[in-house]
Amino acid sequence: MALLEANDLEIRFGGVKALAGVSFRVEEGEVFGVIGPNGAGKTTLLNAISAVYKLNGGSIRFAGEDVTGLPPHRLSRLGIARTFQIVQPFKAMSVRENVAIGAMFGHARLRTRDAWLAAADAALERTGLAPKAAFMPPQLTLADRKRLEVARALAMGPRIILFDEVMAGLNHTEIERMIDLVKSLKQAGLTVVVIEHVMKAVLALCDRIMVLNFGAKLAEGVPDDVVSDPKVVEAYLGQRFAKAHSAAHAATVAGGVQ
Amino acid sequence: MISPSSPSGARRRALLFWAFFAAGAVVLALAPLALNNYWLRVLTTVFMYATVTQGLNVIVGLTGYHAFGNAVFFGFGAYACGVAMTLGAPFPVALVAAVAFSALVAGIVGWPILRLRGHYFAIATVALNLAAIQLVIQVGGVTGGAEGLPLPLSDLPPGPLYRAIYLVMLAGMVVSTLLVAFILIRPFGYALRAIRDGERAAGVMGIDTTATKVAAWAISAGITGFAGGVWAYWITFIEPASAFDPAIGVKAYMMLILGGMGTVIGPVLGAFVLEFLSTLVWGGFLQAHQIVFGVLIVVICLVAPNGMLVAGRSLIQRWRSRHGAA
Repeated sequence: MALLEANDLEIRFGGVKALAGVSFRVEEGEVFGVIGPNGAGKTTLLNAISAVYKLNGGSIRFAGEDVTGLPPHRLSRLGIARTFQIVQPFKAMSVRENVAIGAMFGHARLRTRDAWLAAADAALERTGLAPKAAFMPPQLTLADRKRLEVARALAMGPRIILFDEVMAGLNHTEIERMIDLVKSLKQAGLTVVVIEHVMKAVLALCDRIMVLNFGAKLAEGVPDDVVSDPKVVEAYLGQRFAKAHSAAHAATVAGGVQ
Repeated sequence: MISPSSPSGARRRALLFWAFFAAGAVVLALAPLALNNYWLRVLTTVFMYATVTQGLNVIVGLTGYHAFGNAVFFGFGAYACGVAMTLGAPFPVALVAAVAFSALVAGIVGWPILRLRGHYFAIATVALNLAAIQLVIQVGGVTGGAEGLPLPLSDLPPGPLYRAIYLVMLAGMVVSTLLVAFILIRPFGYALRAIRDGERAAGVMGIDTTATKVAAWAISAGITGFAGGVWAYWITFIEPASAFDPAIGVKAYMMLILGGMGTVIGPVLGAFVLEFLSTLVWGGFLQAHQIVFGVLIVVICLVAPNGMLVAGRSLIQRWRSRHGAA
């Protein structure tokens, strides 16, 4: 059964359709990627699912239940967590307190102060932020602030996490670490949706990919099929990426044969 | 410098703070034995403003929602108290009515307008203040309308009465300060601070932002209404223009900025400093006290834009680093 099921999502800003009837399903336990050019509606899609924006049309089902129109805080307690592309730490609280907020309000079951702090510490440990628990957010590097977003989401004990460009602005080493982190979440049984421009990360992580363009679905499928789809190359990836990717692909296939 | 202090150091400082706070409250509670009527009145006014400022602190300092017209609840509290007493209620019951009515109005009005963000909410509160004046005038009847409302006189002789009012105002200041300190360590306080620092993130992390904001505003209104209720009984005659005077809110705002938004003791410090300053200026410059006072405010805002607590802390840090401590 699909964990998350979106049907004909539509969001309008004035006369502009930012999302023009997008449907997709995310299966339990998979990593589902959403890619597309700037302005294609990726972040809008995430805002629609997490109810930051109100839908102008369409419906959303989560774990078999209709959750269309529920406010953000209700969704979070059902098990939907997200991060923000532009990080939004509570700047007057320590890193540990930031994460504890997720456990305090977003977790469906935790009721005591000790349980909140334990969940926060576990999330800090998992994201490698534990040594910086007493820091204030302005003292963190961008990579750590992205990790803080992930830790806050994890502390909510979610069933699905929606990542909005957690790799953006990171260097190669930091991207590798973030890829490892997302992989470990998948191994732990979490379902993950990633919005990402860093194709290296998308290819390394995703089981399936959906491509958005002008607020509509352009393609969907397993990564290799999608990145070699001429429509996707035309609209987003470009010929250089396609050539490099097919060359690398051919090399690995050839290497496998030998 | 990374972690501000060890947990035990923080606990020691908190203990020291509350010891000072308790000692201060006891001294102030005993002060009427030694004070003349003039200083009794000045201090009662200070406590009144400290309470109003603490109410403002809950919605502005903790929640981050600017409410320029928050003193409207001072007026609602005054009128609720006045009307209840006119209808025969004793003062304590009328005071409960003042708190409850103010909180109720904030709850009802807040439900729609706290969905507005930023400046819109601030402007809406100003509009509410203006509307309240007209409302009282138009309703007339038991509110006395434009002619004002005299409150039933107390059986107590003036001396004991003013001392009793002093103590009730002091209690308002102390209890509202304790309430803010209590809120800050509860999940509710964390929710308010989360909304202040990032409302969207707070929402997707499970905080029911609208309900939390409405609750905060109702608490803010209740505290402000308490001060208004006691004030009405104190001056015994209220009229729309004085009960809903926007200047009360402006003064509370200055005290909040001066003392430090979102801090526990800032509103109290701000009220003491500004009210004493204004009293001194008033005594020294009978003709031009408004101008002198205004210039002082500008200077304070330039020197300590984040309040005295922050300014004091950074001064101490600068002094320490200059004298090469450890």
